[in-house]
Formats: sequence, C-alpha cells, structure tokens
Amino acid sequence: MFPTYIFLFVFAPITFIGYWVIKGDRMRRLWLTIASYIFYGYWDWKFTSLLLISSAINFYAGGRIGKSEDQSTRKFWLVAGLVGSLGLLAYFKYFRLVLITLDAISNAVGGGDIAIWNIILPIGISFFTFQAMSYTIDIYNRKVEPTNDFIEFACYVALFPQLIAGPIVRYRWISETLRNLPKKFTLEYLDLALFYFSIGLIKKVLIADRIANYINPMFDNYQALVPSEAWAAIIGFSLQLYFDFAGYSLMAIGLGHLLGFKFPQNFNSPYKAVSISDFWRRWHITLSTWLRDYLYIPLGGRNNRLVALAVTMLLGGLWHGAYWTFVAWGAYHAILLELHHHLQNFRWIPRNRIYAQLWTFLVATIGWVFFRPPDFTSSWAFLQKMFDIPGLITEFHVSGKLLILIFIAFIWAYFLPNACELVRDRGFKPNTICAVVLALLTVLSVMFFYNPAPFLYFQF
Amino acid sequence: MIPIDNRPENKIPPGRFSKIWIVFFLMPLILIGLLNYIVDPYGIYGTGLFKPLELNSYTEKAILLREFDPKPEALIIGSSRVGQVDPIVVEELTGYRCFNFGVPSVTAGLMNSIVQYAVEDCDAPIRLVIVGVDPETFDAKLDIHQQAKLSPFFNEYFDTSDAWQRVLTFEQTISSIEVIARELKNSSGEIPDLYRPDGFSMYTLKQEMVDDGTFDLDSVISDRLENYASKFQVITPSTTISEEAKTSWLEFLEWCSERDIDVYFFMPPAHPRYIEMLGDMGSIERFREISTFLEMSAERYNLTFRDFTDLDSIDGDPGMFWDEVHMQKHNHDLVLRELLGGYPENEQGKSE
Repeated sequence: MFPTYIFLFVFAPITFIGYWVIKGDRMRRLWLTIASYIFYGYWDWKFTSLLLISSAINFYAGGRIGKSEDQSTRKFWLVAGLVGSLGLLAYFKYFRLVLITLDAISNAVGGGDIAIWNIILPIGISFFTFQAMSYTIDIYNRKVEPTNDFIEFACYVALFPQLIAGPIVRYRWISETLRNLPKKFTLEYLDLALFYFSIGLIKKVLIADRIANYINPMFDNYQALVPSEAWAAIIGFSLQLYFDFAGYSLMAIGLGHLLGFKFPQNFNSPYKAVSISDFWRRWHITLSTWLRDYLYIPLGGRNNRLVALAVTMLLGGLWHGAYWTFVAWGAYHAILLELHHHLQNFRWIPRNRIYAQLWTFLVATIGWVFFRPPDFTSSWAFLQKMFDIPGLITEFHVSGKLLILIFIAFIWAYFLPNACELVRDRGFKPNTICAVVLALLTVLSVMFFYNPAPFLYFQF
Repeated sequence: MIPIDNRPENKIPPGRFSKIWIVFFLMPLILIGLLNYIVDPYGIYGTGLFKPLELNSYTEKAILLREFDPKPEALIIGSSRVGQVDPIVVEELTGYRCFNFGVPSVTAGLMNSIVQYAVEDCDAPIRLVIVGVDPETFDAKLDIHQQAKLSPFFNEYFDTSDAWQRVLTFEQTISSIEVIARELKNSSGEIPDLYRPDGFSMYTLKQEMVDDGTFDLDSVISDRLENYASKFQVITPSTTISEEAKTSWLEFLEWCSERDIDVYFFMPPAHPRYIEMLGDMGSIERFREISTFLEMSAERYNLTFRDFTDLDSIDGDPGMFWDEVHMQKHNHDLVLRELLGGYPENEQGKSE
C-alpha cells in the first residue's frame, strides 16, 4: 500500500501533520490508532473488526495475567489469550487448508466431496497476530508490564507502518515511546525517515517490481521454460523477494522515524550470509527471533535441538501460507540447518568466504522452488527443469534485460552495505549528492506507481 | 550507487538532507505532472494543445469507424488475430457492408463496449457481428489492454476516476517527450496507413517483404516461439479460466440477442508449429474446455460457432501466416467461407 499516490500524497501527509500538531499523548495515540484503522480498512473495512478483536483478546488476557500472582491463573489466561489469537489465525488462514486436505483424503479413500469454504485471508493477519501474542507471552514471562490503556495497546497492534508486513515489533521494544510520545519533531529523524523510505521504495519499485515483470509470466508458464530460463526465474525470484520484502521493511522503518519510533532491522543483507544458519540470522530477523524466543527455546532449544528445530521450521514455513509447499520449504531449511550443524562439527564447511556465500545463496535459492510455485507438481516440474543438465548446456535462452536486472540486484545485495548498516555502523553522513540521487530515484519510483505489483509478503 | 561521504567536513547539518531531498523530489514531480497534463499525449485531459500520440489501435479504429460512411451493418471484432479478416469478403458473403474492429488483446467485456460504441455512438445499424475468439480471452490474467484504457473513445466504458494518477506515469512521460520531439521536428504527425478505411489491417511492411521474397515465416515463428511463455500470454494447463470473462461473454451475446444482432463466432486457426508447442505444454485440453464453453454459449443463444484451431479444418495453407497466430488474408478468406458460406438467405432477406 505504500507505493500508491493515495498513500504518499494524501494519507501520509495528513496523518503525520495531525500527529505532530495534536496536543496530548492520549489524543495523539487515538489519532494514530484511527489513522491505522483507516489504513487497514482501505483494503477492506470489514476486517478492522478482526484487528479490534485480536487487540481486545490480548489486552484482556495480558491484563489478567499481570494482575495475578497465582501461576495457574496466569497460565490459564496465557492459554486463553493464545487460543483466542491462534483461533482467529487458524480459522482465517488455515481452515481452508484443512478442508482441502480432508477433501483430498476423502476422495482418495473413495468418500464423497467435502465442501470447501471460500474464506478471505485478511491482509497481514499473521503479522499482527504474532505481534499481539508477543505482548501476552512477555507479560506471562514477566518481561513487560501490561498497559491499562486500551487505546495505547490498540495503537501498538495497528501501528500502520508495520501493520501488514512487519517488522514484527514487540510491545516492550516500543512501550516507552508509545507511553511518552516524542513531543518535538526533529530534523535528524526526518533525515533518517526520508533516507530509509526512499531506499526502501527504490528497492521495491525499481528492482523487485521490474524483476517481477519478467519472471511472473515465466512462473505462470513454467512448462514452456528451458533449464536456463528456470534458473533465471528462480534466481530472479530470490532477488525479487528480498528486494520486495526488505524494501517494505525499510519503508516501515522510515515511516516509523517520521512518528518518532525506532523499529528493528528486519533484513541484514541475507545474501551475504556465509552459511544457512547465518542466513536465518539475517533474513526476516523479527520473525526468526520471534520463533526462536517463543517457540524454539520453550521447546527446549539446544537441549532438544532436533525436535525444537523441526517444529520451529515446519511451523515457520506454515506461517507463510496455508499450503503444504510452505511446510516443505520449512522442512528443507530444517534439514539444511541440521546438516550445517553436523558439518560444522566436523569442520566440513567452506573456508573461503566468497565460496561459502555463493553456496549459501545457491541452497537458499533452490529452496524458493517450494515457496513460489503454487503446488508440489509445479515445484517438482520446476526442479526437473533446473537440473536438466544436458538441456542447461545445450539451450541457453534468457532475456537479456532480465539478466541485467538480476546482475544489478545481485551486485546491490552482495556488495553494497544495507541502509541500516550505513546508519548504525558508519553513522548517517549523507552528502548533497546522496540526497539528490535518492530524491531523483524516488521520483522515478513514483512514476511506476500506476499498476504497482502488490508486496509479496502481504499474502502471508 | 548511493554516495555516502564519511569525511567529517562533508557531513551536512541536520535537516539539510531533507531540504535537498524534498526540493529534488517535488520539483521534478511537479514538472512531470505539468508536462503530461499540458501535452496530454493520450488525449485524456482534453487540453488539446498538442496532437495526441496516435499509436493507439483502439483510438484509430474508433476514428475510422466513426468516419466510415455509409455505416456498416456487419462488424468483425476480436484481437489483432482477426486483423486480416476482410470486410469486403464478408460483404460478398452476406450482403452487409462491413467494418473490421480487430484490436490488440481484446477482452470479452471490451467486445461488448466495441459493439455498443458502434451502435450507440456511431449509429451503425449493426445486424451481424463476426467474432474471432482467442482462447486467451478467457485467461484470468488477461487485463484490459492499456490502449483501451487510454483511448478517449472507450474511457466512458471504464472507471476513469484514477485518470489523474496517470499524469505522473513513466509511460506517459515518455509519450509526452515523443510528442514534443515530433513537434520540434515539425513532423506532420501523420500516422502510416496501418488500416484500410474499413479497418482491414494492411501489414504494409511485411507485405513488401513478401513481395520482395525476403519474408521468412519459418524464422519469424522460430524467433517468437523461443521463450514464448516469457514473451506472450499463452494458455497452459495451469491457466485459470476466468469466470468473469465467461460472464462478460454471455452478457455480450445477451446484449446482441436483445437487439436482434446475429453473432457468428469462431476460434481462429493457429500455425501447426504453435499447436505442436501447445501440445507439448499440455495446453490442448484447455483449448477444448474453452471450445466446449463457446459451443454451449452458441447453443444457448441459437448462434453459429466453429472451432477452427486446427488449420486443416479450413484446409488452410501453413505458409499463409504472418507469425504463429496472425494469418494472412488467404487463410482468413477460407475461414469466412467456412463460417459464412451457408449464411442464411433469410438473414440477407431481412437486410433488404
């Protein structure tokens, strides 16, 4: 929704001006909450009630946990909060998969057809559900005090910059800012906001969407691809997904700065990773740390590594969508992580950094074969195309423009420092040329707003 | 790519970055908006200071049809694949004066708009519509062609409330620059004759190559079939057939039926090499599915439908193509004779 004229030229200016003009924290939080609900309702106003229900469940459960010292009562309200949140997620996101699976089983054993309901997947439900759940769990773990201001909590859950595609922000990270909203608009924050937002927008519109224009028809008609095209498509998707999602995250961080919030980094140049475990420390950081803290560690962590890893990665895969292909993608990464663990023990991992990075990029890219095509048949056919070695040698046909885009994206992803790195490690010291270049590339991005490609992670 | 200067003396004070950014963001955007609004390369805003960039087949055909006098009683519609369906042959076979309104990537919904435009805006007494239906018409991914959206003649059939958003688009900016360049060159802006006055596609350049003996159909087809899926819309086993397109198609037939307009429709032949590729992809079943639906729609409205996908069904010549799907007049004449050969005498009688 960010790369639209209505957001950039209408919604964002009105929201930000209102936010900085209104006096009093309560009114400003209310303003921000209303704006965030309008932002969400612009997609489908009916589902704002879902946002409200999810907030209410966790606000109430968190409050009850906070008020009680009795462990069994605390546990009861924790379970109640989680069941409520996950129940909504299960119904809207996974119930259809259950019906489809039951239907397939029923047909396989000669039973009748099972009616498959058409349930609309609310945009960003996985993100705001996990975000709201982290509040309840953190109160249970005594890591944060519950708030008694529902508007404050509703504002946290619905905060529009990260509402529909993350980063998944935990309440305790921003509770201080939420409670005492910044009073004064600082130019340093405006500088950072424009810096992050423009880089994010450029990544999304000028790189990810341009690649998408070439590879989407290739995935749609994968039967007609030759092996070299299959590789170009999957490498293109690998880069498209990164630039799309990392671009969105950067825009969210930039918009957060305009409100005085510091959101966490979500991507740390994942394609520079030297191993698959390094990749997971750099890719979708707020989700992987969420899964680590609320699933992997409670399941036993390193003491119960195999089970904890398998469950975490399978559920992590399923988090991305109600398709068994996502579970397979999670399983693929679980196997890679387990394999890496053993190879590391035997010191059988590449020593050369560049070789290790390219190898990691390759195995991560192959994994996207389970992520992008819609079903196992397509994934399997795609893999067959990719590993048709004679075909790969004899028939090399790839669009020159796609190759150029892949080359630019790869160079950017692999060699350049990421925006957060520039600010955090090197200090934010952009000069005039940097401002001019970023502004002009942002103008170019705006010129592609008409018919924008949706963010890939919205569907998750 | 993004210059970051770490030298302390080059660090700019807080807010300076934002000021420069805002100036270099807003100024070009305002200039681009003004440029596109004033030049109005697609004739959307009606400023009328420059002659619009005439590259739009929808607009061109709309103008030709409006100027076609006497008004046609028969209309040929479909995608560019029906470009060389000859209105003169239709007139020979049916007695109706005919106009060819074949335009790129026509959707089922647009077919209705085109016939409505002919009947309501051009006052053409349409009695017969001949439709070449591409299977791709029913692909859920087929969007309304950009040219149709940008054609002032068809704007009224679409939601144009977002027309202002186009004022900043890259595509429109390039077109504005083209218009200005044309004006600076003092070019007359005349478009080459792509169509005869009755809408028949001329294929002038390719025809010259045919006459010179330099047209190599095999190479053309080979080039196009290579990477076909990444270049063109193609029906595959995984293609979703659009229910919306089916509904629009039935609405179109209903609309014609209510006005006593007879509709003859057919699936156009394709080159055997293309059919072979589709066979390898496993797409032929989907073609049959679409053909069955069209058959059903013909039965519902008591109309004539023929599936000519297989070139042999018209005894066509594989050498008489411009590429894998666009046929030359020779083959189209065969299609028309198969389709309209037994055109009901009573229909001709009605027109007299």
